[in-house]
Amino acid sequence: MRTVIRLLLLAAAVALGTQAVGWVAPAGVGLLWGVVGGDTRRPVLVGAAAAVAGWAGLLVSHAIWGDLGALLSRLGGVVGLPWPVLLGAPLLLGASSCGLAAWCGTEACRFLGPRRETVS
Amino acid sequence: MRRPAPPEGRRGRPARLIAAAALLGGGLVALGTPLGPLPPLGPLLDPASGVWAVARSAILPASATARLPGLDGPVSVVYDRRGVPHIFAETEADAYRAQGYVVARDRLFQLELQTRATTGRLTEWVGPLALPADRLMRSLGLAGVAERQFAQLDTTAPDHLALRAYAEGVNAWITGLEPRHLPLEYRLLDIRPEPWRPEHTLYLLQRMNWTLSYGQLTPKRERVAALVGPRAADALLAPWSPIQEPIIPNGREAPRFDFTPLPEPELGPGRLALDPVPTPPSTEGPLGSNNWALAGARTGSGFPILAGDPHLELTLPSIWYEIHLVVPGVLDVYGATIPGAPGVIIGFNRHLAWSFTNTEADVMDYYREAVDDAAAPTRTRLDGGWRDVERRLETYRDRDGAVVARDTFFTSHRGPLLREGDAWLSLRWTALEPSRTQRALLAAPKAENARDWLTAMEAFAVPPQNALVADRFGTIAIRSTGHFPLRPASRGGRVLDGSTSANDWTGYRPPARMPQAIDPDQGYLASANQQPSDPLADSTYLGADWRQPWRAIQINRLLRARHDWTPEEVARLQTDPRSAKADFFVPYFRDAVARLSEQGRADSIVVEAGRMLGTWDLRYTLESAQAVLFEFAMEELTTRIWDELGDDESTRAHTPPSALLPRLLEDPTNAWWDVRATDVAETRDSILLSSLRAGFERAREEHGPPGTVSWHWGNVRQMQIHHLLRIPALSALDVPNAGGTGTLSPMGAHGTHGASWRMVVELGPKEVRARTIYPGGQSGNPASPWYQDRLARWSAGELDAVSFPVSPEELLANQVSARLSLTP
Repeated sequence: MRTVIRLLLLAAAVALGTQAVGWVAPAGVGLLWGVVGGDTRRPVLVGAAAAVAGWAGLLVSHAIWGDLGALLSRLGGVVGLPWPVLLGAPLLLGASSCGLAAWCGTEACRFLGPRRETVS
Repeated sequence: MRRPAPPEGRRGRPARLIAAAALLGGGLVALGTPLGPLPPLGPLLDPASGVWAVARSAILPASATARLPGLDGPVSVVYDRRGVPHIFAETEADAYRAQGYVVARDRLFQLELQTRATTGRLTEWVGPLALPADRLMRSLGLAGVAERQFAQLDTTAPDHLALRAYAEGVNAWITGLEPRHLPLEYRLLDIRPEPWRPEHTLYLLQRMNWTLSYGQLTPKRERVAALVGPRAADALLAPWSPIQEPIIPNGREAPRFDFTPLPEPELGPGRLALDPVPTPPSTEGPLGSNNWALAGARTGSGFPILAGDPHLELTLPSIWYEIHLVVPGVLDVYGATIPGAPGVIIGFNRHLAWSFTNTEADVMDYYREAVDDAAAPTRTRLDGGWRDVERRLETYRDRDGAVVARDTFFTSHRGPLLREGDAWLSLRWTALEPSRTQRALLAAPKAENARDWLTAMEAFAVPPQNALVADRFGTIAIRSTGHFPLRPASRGGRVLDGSTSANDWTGYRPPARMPQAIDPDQGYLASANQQPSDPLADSTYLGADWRQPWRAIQINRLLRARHDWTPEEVARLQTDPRSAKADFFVPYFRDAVARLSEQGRADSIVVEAGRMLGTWDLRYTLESAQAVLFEFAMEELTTRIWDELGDDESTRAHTPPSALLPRLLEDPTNAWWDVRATDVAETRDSILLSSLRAGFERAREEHGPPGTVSWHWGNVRQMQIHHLLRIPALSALDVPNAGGTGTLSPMGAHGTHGASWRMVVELGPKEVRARTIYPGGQSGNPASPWYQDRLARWSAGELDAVSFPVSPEELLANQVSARLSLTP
């Protein structure tokens, strides 16, 4: 349950951060998450999943208040890719940057910080 | 539950940290950096303000408020169900401010692309790829002319005020533009919009001048003369059309054909002379327009009806934007505007309606100049003295500001000084002279009757237009209006001696001497780019190489036939698929087949082709197989007849219009029929038959056996409506069109040009009823429901009934799709 709550909070942070500072937000959130939550279970995976959830939420908002389907259809034609691949691209980008940053934060914490014990 | 701590060896290992940091940092840098022509992927894929946000900005909010600095008062904008903004303002300047704002909201990229195309700054977006186009525009100096024209305007003049107000509106949108509202094209090119300056509107008008009046008659004639001699060249580029169905009624009930034999080709020097700049597409193309007006005596209701459909290059978004501007007591105009221009170009108000077709007049001349320095002239000789040459260094840059190329251009007192071999030629062109066209376009829509409208249009300079107007009082009128040079020589199309001012223009035709007609006895007026006046009535030189008269013939034939036209029937005429061209040529093909059959020498292909043409109703319906055969046969005929001018369309010095062929068809042994590449001397019938056979075989080769759907006209030729960046996925390709070369809804071999706007207006004494359509939609956003929503109806020949409310309240709630309040 705690993991789910963490994930949702992180997803919200990713979404709000992206609104505020743009596409680098997942990396920033992930880095922070790595530092503060690096000793939790699977911090990298949680970070990546949160980024996917956060960015998916933003995409869903475009589908609700705009015509994302029409755009995907057009863009798919422009780049020569089917729309699911197109839609997966930002999710992959968000997940990888947040997960990577979480890993980075975790390692930095381990390298620089005092010796800690991992809790679940 | 506590988990055991990780092994000591894994804790704090710097290699892992370095690897993670390197991967993260490298990834972020890579995603933030452009990869070749691709924009940086990070910002592009950002789900908040990246490309995805285009989906959200595709739909206008039902209600929005925005600040527009400079407004004199609040402005209400109501978008109807078709995405047309109805702007209600308190002052004229506010109406143009709001217009600039809403046009930028829908078409920002188009605005900027047009500006850059005219100023020759496309390399700054796409690099050396655009260098040829940029060089051409800068060599003509169109932007500099526009800037001088703007600088010369009185700052209190109405056009100056309108241009400034419009720019304020555009800039208000750009300034308030959030990154998430950036149009798709900016994202794909990784660019940002530049501020709009008032003179940018004049750039746009210069672009229209380039499209519509850059006739290049002189280079064409010189090249033709070099190949077949001056006598034949003059006949092929004659100042009078061999088929007379003039705009100004000549009292005849049918076209007059000139069957005088065409002068035979002589062996010229063969050198392709005088090609300082590229020539526009062949005159066979469908770039042209229709308009006609019916007086009350010709309509069922007794009210005048005006119809107009300009034929231009079709693009997505469209060249046109539909708008309604209301300033109580000052302005109440509806119609089509070009994004970038304040006001309405073609449209109607509560009293009258108007439309244009291009006059195709000859408005440019070349002068051979004597220069002081053949390598880099500083002066040109004139009347025994010297005139200074202006020198201009042009630098082309890429998106990073690096220099792509540099050019030095020269300008004489006449215009651009262009090098052609060892010679220097000055180009004088009305588009490069002072102009009050914008003022005319702003004043005319305020007129309350046709005569006042014509008076307002007297200031119109370039590109010359056949300006048609009808008012609710029953008046219909047309005038070929614009700057028509008065030349000392009897005709243009020749390189003139620049060392004497005796060859210079002496002025422009005054309005009273322009071709015009008001309330003719025939009860209607029509133009389709044909020669305006019958030379038997007015032999003054206006131009040469006149466009095909086939559309004019068909319009006149249809309009003459009835006195009870309704707006619905008039709208149907705009896509009438009957071909007057086929009407003329098909009998010649059939007769040639019949003569061959009588001799017992007709083969099965010729017989079959002749039979097909014999059963044709001469209509370019989508199912017509005969239209395919006829078009292919005519293309083959063109190649065979004009072989002296080049082997094919791409290398031909000039493709004479098919309207010249009557002069050959009644002269079966004229040397033009002979194909020089063969040993035998061909005649009319052998060329007609070989063209028909080749057309049939080509159709069979490309589309299988006749009788199958693949032979249907609708499957062989379609409209190709490209996106402005020619991105196929953002284009509308293979759009059916029931028309071909010479029909009222024309379509050439490439399908890139056609009816860019269709309008039918009935002018009742109390109510104006209008229908309009254009191939596309109001929004430039490809994800918008208004991007190409009108295309299917346009293709089917349908028009939309338009809302023409007096006030915002007059639009019912179910007719409104969005509201925008603009405040100072």
